[in-house]
Amino acid sequence: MKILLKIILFFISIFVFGENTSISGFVREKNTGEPISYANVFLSNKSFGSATNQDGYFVVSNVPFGNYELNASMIGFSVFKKNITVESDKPIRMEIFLKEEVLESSEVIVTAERQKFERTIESSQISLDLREINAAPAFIEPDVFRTLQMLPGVQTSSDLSSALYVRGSTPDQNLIMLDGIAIYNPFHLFGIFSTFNTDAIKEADFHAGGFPARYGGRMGAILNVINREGNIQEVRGSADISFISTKGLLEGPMPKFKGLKGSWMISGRRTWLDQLLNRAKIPNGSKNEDGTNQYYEFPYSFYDYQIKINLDVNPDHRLTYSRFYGDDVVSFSFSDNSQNQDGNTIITNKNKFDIEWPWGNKTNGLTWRWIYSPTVVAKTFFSNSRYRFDFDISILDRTTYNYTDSTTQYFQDIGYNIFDVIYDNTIESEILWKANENHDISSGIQLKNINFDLGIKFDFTDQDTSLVFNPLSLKNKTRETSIFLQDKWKINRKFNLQSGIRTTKYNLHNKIYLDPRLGLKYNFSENMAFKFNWGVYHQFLTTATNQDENLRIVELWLGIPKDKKASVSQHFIGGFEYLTNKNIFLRVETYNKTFDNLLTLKESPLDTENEDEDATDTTNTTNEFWDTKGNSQGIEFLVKKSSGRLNGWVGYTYSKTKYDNEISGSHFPGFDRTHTLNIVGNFMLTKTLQLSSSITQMSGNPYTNIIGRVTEWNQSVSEESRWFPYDKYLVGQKNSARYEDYFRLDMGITRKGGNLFGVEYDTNIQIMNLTRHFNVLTYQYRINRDLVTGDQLGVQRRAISMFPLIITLGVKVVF
Amino acid sequence: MFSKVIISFYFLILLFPLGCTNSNWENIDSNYDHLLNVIGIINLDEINDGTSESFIGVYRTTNLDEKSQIFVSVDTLGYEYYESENDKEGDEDGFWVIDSIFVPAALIDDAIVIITDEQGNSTTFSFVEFEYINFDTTLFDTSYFEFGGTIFTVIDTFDIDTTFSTRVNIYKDTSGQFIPIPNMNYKLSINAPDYDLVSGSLLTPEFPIINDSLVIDTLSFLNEYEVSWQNSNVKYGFFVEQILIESNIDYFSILEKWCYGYKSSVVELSENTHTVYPIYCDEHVSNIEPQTALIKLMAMDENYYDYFIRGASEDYTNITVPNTTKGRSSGIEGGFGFFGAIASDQILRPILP
Repeated sequence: MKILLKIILFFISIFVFGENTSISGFVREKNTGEPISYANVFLSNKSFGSATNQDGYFVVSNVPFGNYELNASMIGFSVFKKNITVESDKPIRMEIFLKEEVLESSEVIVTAERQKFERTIESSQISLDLREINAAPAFIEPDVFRTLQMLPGVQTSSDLSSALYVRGSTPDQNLIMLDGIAIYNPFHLFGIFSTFNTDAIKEADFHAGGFPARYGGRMGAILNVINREGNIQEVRGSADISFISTKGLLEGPMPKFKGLKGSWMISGRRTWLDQLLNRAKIPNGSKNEDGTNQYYEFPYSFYDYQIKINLDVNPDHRLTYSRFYGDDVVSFSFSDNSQNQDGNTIITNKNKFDIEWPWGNKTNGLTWRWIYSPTVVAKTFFSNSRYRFDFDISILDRTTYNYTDSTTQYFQDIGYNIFDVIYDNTIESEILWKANENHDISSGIQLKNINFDLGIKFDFTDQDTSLVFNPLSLKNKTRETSIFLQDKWKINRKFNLQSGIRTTKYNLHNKIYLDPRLGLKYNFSENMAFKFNWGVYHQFLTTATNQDENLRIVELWLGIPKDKKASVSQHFIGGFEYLTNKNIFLRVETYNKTFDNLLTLKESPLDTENEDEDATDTTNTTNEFWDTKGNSQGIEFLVKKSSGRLNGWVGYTYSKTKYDNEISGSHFPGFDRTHTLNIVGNFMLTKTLQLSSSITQMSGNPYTNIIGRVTEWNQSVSEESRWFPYDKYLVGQKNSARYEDYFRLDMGITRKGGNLFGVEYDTNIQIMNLTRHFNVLTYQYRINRDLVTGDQLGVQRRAISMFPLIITLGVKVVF
Repeated sequence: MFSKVIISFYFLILLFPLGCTNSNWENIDSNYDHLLNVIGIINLDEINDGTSESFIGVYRTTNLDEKSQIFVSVDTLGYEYYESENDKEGDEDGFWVIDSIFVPAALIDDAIVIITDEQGNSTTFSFVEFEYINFDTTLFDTSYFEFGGTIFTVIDTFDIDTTFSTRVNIYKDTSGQFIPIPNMNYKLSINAPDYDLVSGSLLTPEFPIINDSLVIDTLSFLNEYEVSWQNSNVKYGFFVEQILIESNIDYFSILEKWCYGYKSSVVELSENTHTVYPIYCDEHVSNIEPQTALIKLMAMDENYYDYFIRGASEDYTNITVPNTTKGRSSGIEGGFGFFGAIASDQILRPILP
């Protein structure tokens, strides 16, 4: 790579002439050392300027010799000014620290919004900082996914899921990353909220579509959650207790040893309710072998921790290690021991029933950032990510006969195990080159090896028999080798063009996939811009999930098999953006997405008397997929105010998504909602009292309704063959009915600045579904029977609700 | 601070009951065009044993707010005497036995059902009404009807005398002219008032012929054995081994000791052989009387196999709504159900425990 860089720079140097240089460096918060993204850096007496990237890095290139005043500014911080003199072609490197400043007024001239508005060409991109993530009232704890669900274009299937359905794409089509490492199934508590601890988050970068060539392997959206780097000035910590979990965070500078520079951050959280109940030692009525009591144990818990360590080897080289480990665990055990006597024989019986069900993610990532020159930054990234889902039931039965002269034991052990394990090992390298004021070129290579192991195992052992049965065993080893090249070209003051290409070789297919990307921005005026994006997106993995279930507790991942085509989507996005002088952002965007080669899980055949299925029967449809295609269109409106005492956003989406496959024909998917309105607001009542509120009004999502009943038959083949009728519910066209409209009003109050024995604390109260609106999750059906005759009178149904009124309290302590 | 935590916790508990929202069960109706639902079997075994018969059952789909059965009439069967406990010796009392007759609401009894072979010979199947023999006042549920033989499952009754009786409500050949033959194409036509015409077609299987002489003379419950047969013109067969236990007071306890005495599997008839493996259960003991085992091989036509064995891949499943279907049809057009054919061969063998 060094040789390649030198060649490139050699050609550059041929064309670069004249007396000028570049000014580069990092902009950080003074108190913590956290890099500041989208800070504005400019020379006040010339039209030279730049904005910092996500690493807080900026470069102002081709600055002629002379004297300048360098300014750096960012909302919430005082302006940095410094006089500098450029008198040689040696690049100038700076470390700029901005001091946090409490805003006196809501008037803001230059903000991050302005920087994002001017610099970004991609449509549908939004970056949320920690304040915005915490903006909306939360279900128990703030959650980045639940905040994203309130943005236009992002939908939710129900209150019980924080998964993201983005413009017709299902959650498995989104690439979710933590510090650049892919995370599969990033959920806790059966999908109710995400695994991302907001205390550790610096910002979340979200692309709802039209994302650039450096991202690939997914068709829907990109979410990259960036963790904080850690305080480089002093050791700090915070702790948080809510109704569900306790959280803690510790951060600080690297120890002063042999000139080491850097920072570290550790955060973690765990449920506490299980610990509390387990320590209460409530007897459950059963006894252990030694006669002592057995106690109730709360069967569920979750925990996660994150570590991030930054080491600045020298001003140009930084190593960053990040790790995440999180698990949800359902653990239940019941045992029963009894003993009785039959004459001279003592019979001892022991039964044990265990459920052990952990599922979660583990990631490790090592990034090497090399600032080769002010205009060339190289990043090399090694990561591994493991997702594991392992549901295990075991039943043990022991009966011991103690005779006067001998002992005999009979036993029966049954085990049932469903598992899904994914190992994702990735190496990628990227070069970012600011060729000149008009061209930002990036290029990179990615090698991703993924091992999938999905299976079901059943084992049975007794004193005479031992058998193991694997009704399902799907193993896949896939490799995606990708190369991308992208140029962000500022054609003139009015036009910006971002073009790129990503090529991928998937090892199970004998072809190379091309994903072209194009973004065009027309600056109509200083405050208004028009954008257009187009791109092709291939995906090489899918999930085996029942699309009809409203509760998607886990996803079971598979690589696209050899005999199936890669899924592909094409995005067309157009819109305009307007940023007022008072920093109110308005966006109107329309999109059209097509989907091909989606794989929809086939459901099992009906129960039949097929106890010994013919292994040669290739017509068995268990665990196969329907080829599905689809289309999604919509228009979105967003009005967002990011600063001031009152801030928040109003978003409206009109959308229509349709899927089509052989068995269901053209139908709406279960997450489709025609109209979605979100209003999110925060208001600082006083300096210490903050009020937050959100309103969501959505069309009901589709469901397949029961229209009648029909008799089907089962056979009984014996000496005389017989055929038995049984009733089934007859369903109508798939997803042709709609639940009632959804409405929810949430409110939250946060009191800051409490102090107890010198320890600062914040308290908050969150109220979810304040108006107790009944939002239908699903319907439950039953046969209404005549109590006297037993006759079936008809079918009845009852709605099952999503969240009722929920009030939660939280306390946050900072030390 | 500790007291604040406790107060907050109680605050949460108190408010939660206010948060719960209830919904009630509501009757639901439906409004859709009903389709006919057909069970049609051409049973070639009637040629051999004269007892099994080909038949067509014609039903329809039902609405959600419909009763499953329609009351037709009552019939007085007789007077039952009993000895009253409180009466003086020799006094008798009794009650009238009245039968309430129900028919399934979905039953179609006025259709014109015709089966035609490939040579153009047609037979009209006539509707045979429900016939019953000797039973008390019973109220039964539609879902326990069966064809070919009947066991009534009684709900909410008293003093039950469950008896076997021949039960119809099906279309049969009452003329005796219809004698199905193997390897023949048959077409079904059902014309019912207010419903679309339903048609069906099938090709009858040839009889599978078990190589009787190649099956061991005496079976052992704990040992495997082989069964072979000669070719048939259809792909799949259904193999059954059933232990025939005499119906007496100990029937169920004996059956338990033979691990319920039933094995079945789907076989590819082209392979011409099948290995029958033993099954195990805790209840099996070796000191029981030998019994007789029935070995049966039933050839299925494509429609029958498709409906009962392959099943259907449904496009909708939901944990809160079990037992759903979009409606299945095998060999039937214009409605639901199936039109299939079977042909069997069977032998008997003694079986040792």
